[in-house]
Amino acid sequence: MAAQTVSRRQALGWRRAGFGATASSLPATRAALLLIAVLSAAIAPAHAQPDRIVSLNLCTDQMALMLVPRKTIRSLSYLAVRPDISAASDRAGGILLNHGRSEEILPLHPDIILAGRYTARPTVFLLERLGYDVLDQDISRSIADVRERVREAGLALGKTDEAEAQVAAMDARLAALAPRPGERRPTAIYYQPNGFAAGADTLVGDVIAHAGLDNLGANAGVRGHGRMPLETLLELHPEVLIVDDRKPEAPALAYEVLRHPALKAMIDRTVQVVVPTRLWICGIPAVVDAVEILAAARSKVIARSGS
Amino acid sequence: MRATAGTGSRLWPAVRAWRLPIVLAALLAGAGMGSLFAGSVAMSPGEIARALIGGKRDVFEIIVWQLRVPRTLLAMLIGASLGLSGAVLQGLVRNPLAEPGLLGISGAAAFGAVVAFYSGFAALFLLALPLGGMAGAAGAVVLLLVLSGPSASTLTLILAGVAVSSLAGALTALALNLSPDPYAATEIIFWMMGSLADRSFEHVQMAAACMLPGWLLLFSVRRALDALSLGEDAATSLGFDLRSVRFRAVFGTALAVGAAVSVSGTIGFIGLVVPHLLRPLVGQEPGRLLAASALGGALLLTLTDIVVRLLAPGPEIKIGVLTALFGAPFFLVLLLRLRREAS
Repeated sequence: MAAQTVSRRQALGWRRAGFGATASSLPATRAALLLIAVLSAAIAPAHAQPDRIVSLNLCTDQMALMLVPRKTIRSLSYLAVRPDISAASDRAGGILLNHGRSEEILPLHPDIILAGRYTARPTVFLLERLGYDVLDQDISRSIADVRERVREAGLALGKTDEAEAQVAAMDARLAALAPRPGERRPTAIYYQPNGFAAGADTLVGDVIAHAGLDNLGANAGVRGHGRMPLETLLELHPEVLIVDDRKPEAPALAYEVLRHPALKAMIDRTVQVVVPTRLWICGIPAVVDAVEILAAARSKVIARSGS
Repeated sequence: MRATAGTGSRLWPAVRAWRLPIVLAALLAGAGMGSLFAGSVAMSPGEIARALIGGKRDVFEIIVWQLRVPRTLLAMLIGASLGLSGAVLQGLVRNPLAEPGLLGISGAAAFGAVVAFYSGFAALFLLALPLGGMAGAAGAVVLLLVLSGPSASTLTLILAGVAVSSLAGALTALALNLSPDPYAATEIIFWMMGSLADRSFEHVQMAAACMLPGWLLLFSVRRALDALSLGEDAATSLGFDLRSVRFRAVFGTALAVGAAVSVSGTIGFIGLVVPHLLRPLVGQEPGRLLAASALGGALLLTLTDIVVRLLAPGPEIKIGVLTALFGAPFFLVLLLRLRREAS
C-alpha cells in the first residue's frame, strides 16, 4: 500500500518530467508561491518562525527535518519513517504521521503546510481554500532544482540562513567530487524494474552527470524515466550499471528483467553500483551522497581501464 | 512394370500424408531464422551468423543466444502446444469451437501460474511455476467436462467456457491485487494478453519439460480421434476405451497449455485458427490434423511474435493483442458459418 503510493507519485512525476507539458506554467506558479511566502512573512510576523509545521510529502518531510527543530514539527507523512525511501527516517520517529487526509491535518492547527506538487491534491486544495499557508513544492529534475527547493523551504520556514548553509555545504562537496577537467567520463545507465532507464531531464540523470559519468540513457533518447529494451542496454554496454537497493516486497515480473541471464552475462564485464533509493528519490541535499557513490565508481572504472 | 506401379500407388498416400508437415516444418524453420533478426538492435545476417557460431562472448552473441534464440524457441513450443491442444479438443468433443483460450483453460492456467508466482512458490524450484499453470488448466478442463457433460452441444460448451474464463480472470485480478508489491497489479496485462519479451532459456527449459509429456499424451489419442469422428459407439466398438482417451486428452492439454501459459501468459485463438485453416488440407481426418496443427501453431505464433517486435518503436504490444485481432474476427466468421449450416 505504502509503496504503491510512492511509485504512483514517482510515475506521475516522471511522466510530467518526460513530457515537460507543465514547464511553461511552473516559473509563474513558483514566483506566486514565493510571493505568498514573502508576503505572509511580512504581514504576519508571528508566522515568520512557524512552530506548528505539517508536512504531507516524503520530500518536504525531509526538508523540515533538515531545517527546523523537531519540536516545531506537528506531523510528517507516513512515508517519512520508511528507511528504504526516507533519508531522514532515523529522525522522524516519535512525530505524528499523517496520510494526507484533511481530517488529520485540520485538528493540528498548522501555521504552515508543506506539500508536494503531486501528492494529496484534494487536501492541499481544501487547505488553500480555507486560507492556510501552503508551500507546494515541485519535484526536482536537477541538482540546481534541489538548491532552489532548499531555499524555497528555508524561506517558508523562516530559516533562510540554515537553507543557505545547507546549499553551501552541498556545493562544497559537489566541487570536491567533480571530475578534473579533461578527465574521461565513463558511460553509465540507471536500470530499474520493468526495464526503465533514467534520461537527461531527471534528477538521477543530473546526479550521474555531476559524478563525472556519461548517462547513456540520455544519449539513447530516453526522456524522463522511460523504457529501454534489454537488447538496447546490452548493445550500449555501459561501463557502470546503476541499480537501486529496494528489495521486492513480493515477487513480480517487473524484477525478472534485472535477473535475466543476458544482463548477468553483461554485468560480468561491467561495474555494478547500488545507489540506495532514499538518496535520490527526493530533491534533497542527500543526493550528494549518491554523487559520491557514483564518483567512487568512476574512479574505479578509470583505474581499471588505466592499468 | 506392374511392380513399379504397385510400389508407386503404395508410396503415394505416405508421401501425401507427409507433404503438409514437411512444408510446414520448412516454413517454420524459415520463420525461426527470420525471428533471429527481429529486435530493437539491428544486426546484419553476417553478425547473426557469427553470433550463432559463437565463441567470442561479445554483446551480439549475448543478444542472439540469451534473448532471441530462447524467445524464438518459446514461440515455437507455445504455438505448437496451443495448436495441438486445439486440434485434440476439437476432435475429442467433436466441436469446431473448442479451443484452450475460448474454453477458459488458458485463463485458469494463468490463475494457477499467478498464484504460484506471486506467492513465492515459483522461486522454490524450477518447475514450480508450470506446475501452478498445469494445476489451473487441469482444474478448468475437469470443471468444463463436469459442467457440460461428455457430448455437450456447442452452445453449452462455449457457455461453460465463458463461465470458467470470467471466474479465472476475476481470481487472477484478485490474486494480483492482494500482492503487496506495487508492480504486481499492473502485471495483469501480461497474464491476460501474453508476451514473449525478455524470456530466457530457463523458461524454455521449464516449458519444454512439461510440454513434451503433454504432447505425447495428446498424440497418443490420434487414432481414437479418427474413430470418434464416426461417433462414440463406433469408437467403442472399434476397441477404444473412451475413458482413457478422454483422460489422456484432458491431461495432455493441461500439461501443454498449463506450461505454455505459465511462461508467456494467455495467448488466445491460436488453437482455434490453426486447426481450422489446416483441416481442409488433411482431408478431414482428425488424427492427421494433430502434427499439422502443432507445426502450424508454432509457425503462426513465431510469425506473430516477429510482427510484435517489428511494430513497436516504443513499448512492445502484447502478443495476445495481435492474435485476438485476427482470431476474434475468424471466430465470428466461423460462428456465422456454423449457424448457416445448422439452418
